[in-house]
Amino acid sequence: MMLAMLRISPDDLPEIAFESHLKFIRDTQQLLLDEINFIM
Amino acid sequence: MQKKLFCPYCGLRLSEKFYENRKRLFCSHCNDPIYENPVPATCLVVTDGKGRVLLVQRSVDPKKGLWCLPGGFIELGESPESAALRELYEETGLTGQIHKLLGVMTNPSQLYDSVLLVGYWIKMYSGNLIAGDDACDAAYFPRRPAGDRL
Repeated sequence: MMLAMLRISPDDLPEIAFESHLKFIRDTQQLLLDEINFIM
Repeated sequence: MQKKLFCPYCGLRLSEKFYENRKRLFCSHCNDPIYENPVPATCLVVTDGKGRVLLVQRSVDPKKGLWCLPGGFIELGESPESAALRELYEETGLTGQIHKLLGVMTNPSQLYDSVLLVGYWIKMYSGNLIAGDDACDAAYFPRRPAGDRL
């Protein structure tokens, strides 16, 4: 459990167990970009 | 998923019948079809201020050892939002606020045949990151897979 608290961010996204979860991550990436574009 | 063999109401053996435009399990004694539905579940994309996403490592099958978003099944009497936040706390020790509904989709499942997955985005949260419940580890990762341009 302490490992999780001390873990340094890895370089890459690991293999994701479920394709649907990966889709939600990608959707969020796009939403973040949209929010940045909206602010700018 | 193991196929239902017996009626959950009368206990007699089920058959298959074309009913209401599709083949369904049917109880001849009750004279009713057995409607089968996706199991509702939630998942959460938790993003931090450094452009990373929170993942948990699964300690149970299916896909034991792989990483996924925190989340889990909605229990009776729970709203999707409260189920999502409960699962977040159980698996990561974090208390969060839902920022946005990301979407709803159905997915095939080895165990449950079909899962109705409700995805939420969380940007505001607090607490110490500690893996628990079905998760054996939890960590923040970059959002992009290696070589992925989006």
